[in-house]
Amino acid sequence: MAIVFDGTRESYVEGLSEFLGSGRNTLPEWVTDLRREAISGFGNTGFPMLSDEEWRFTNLDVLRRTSFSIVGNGISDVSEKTVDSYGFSGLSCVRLVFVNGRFASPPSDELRDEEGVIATSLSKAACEYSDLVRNHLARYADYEKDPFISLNTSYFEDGVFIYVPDGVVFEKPVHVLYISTDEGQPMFVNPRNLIVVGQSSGAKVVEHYVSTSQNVYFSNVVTEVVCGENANLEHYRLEFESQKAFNFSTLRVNQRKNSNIASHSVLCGGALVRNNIHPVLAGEGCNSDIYGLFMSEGRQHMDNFMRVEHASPHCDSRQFYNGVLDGRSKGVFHGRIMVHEGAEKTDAKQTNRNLLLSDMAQIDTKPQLEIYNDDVKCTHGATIGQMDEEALFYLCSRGIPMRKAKIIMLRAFTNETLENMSISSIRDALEDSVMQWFERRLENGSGR
Amino acid sequence: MSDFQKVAKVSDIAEGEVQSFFINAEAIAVCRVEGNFYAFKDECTHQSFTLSDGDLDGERIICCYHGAEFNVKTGEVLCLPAVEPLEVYPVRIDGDDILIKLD
Ligand code: FES
Repeated sequence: MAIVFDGTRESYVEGLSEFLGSGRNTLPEWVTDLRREAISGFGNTGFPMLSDEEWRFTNLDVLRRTSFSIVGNGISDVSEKTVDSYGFSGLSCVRLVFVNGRFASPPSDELRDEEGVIATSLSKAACEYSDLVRNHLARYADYEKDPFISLNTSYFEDGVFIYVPDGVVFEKPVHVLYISTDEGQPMFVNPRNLIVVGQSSGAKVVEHYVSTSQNVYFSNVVTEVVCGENANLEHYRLEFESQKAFNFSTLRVNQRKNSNIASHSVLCGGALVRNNIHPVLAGEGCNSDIYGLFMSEGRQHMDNFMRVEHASPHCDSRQFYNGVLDGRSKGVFHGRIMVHEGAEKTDAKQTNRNLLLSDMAQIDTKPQLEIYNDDVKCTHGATIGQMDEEALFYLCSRGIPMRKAKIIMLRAFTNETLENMSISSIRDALEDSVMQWFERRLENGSGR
Repeated sequence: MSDFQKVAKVSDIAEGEVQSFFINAEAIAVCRVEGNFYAFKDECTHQSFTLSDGDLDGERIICCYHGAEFNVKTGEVLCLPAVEPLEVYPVRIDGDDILIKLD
């Protein structure tokens, strides 16, 4: 039976008892306690309003007035062939598949190798490695104040659990594929991921969100990452969901001493998208690089919210976020660098560049610095513009046709972020899909 | 998205009333003025608040948040603080259905 939420705060709060009694809560009892605490957090906050400073460019009335349901058993008929079609050619990886928020055992390759690396579903891990999961789950993402984290913590059914023990560098990327199918009514799915990379370890994780049809649903993802001392993590978030989906996601990273993280986001699908990235550089000497590319068309709304917290001395952070907007789409970039009192010698830089392909596309960009220490170096900047006429003219004067010249310019713009990806097969596939996207826009007469 | 799509029923909206509907994530306000129906984006161009929360005065919609006013027929700004015109949509009536066209 479906559990239905009519959009009101009460329906989400009251729905929890039905959820807990429905047999969908396959996680241990301690998670049920967490769920109860989280839903009372949501009961206090409800969905954010435009009057909340962090949401001032994104109107969520649509969420308050649309019904969503938790439906299906998650093992919808997604064939192996469909799953394979979302792979990256030439990429040797460990693949885990989730359908409508639930683990699809075949065709997943679960991993428990002799070095102690684990890649499996969170629901299994919470039973099999209870202490490990319990030490980290919901310790970093604030489920009391952030309404989307509250909802996810209350209603998640599954997600990925990746653990790399101390001193192990796991070279093979873990490709986590989240597939949404059409269940005949708007679904509410809450993938919950936990990635723990131990001391002096390394991993590459690719979260990849796709839909098999253009249906309406509410996908609310939370990923918590713990990066141990001297650890390295490369994290990808590729969002290619239905153009009608509501997609909310949070990446919350906790970085320990001398750890490095590179986060790559590429957003292309969704009607209403909010992507939150929140690393906390908790130990000395950390490095955090955040790269993002969002491309919107039609009436898509893409809101990117970054909060980089420097909590310890001698840490560096870099944000490079580019947006390409067409049609009547709207983009938001809200980037905050926060430097805590003890975080001297912080070096932080934030850049947001936006390319508007149509007169009706709109971008609100709001870089912010909040600094409580005098001995820091912080810069930020944002630009909004069209394709550079002079550069196009120069290329055309060298015999390059206008269409090709535009493609060259767009490739240069998008590659500023994509070129930082170390997994070449993913980088190449994304470059191709960016180009296909742009060619379609050119065919529709865009790309002024 | 170039075709007319059903957004509401004629009987949903009384004379002088404005109501909000959704097509995907797009909030659409539909109002009835002297028997005619007008549709516009239900988002004030000042700070994106919901326009249908405000009052309709003839062909004028008044945003209740900071007082901007727009003509519901043309989208023209009639009063600050908004400066950008409102997006209005072509409307067609088919029996009891109100259809609008999003380009
Ligand atoms: S949001 Fe309408 S006047 Fe300010």
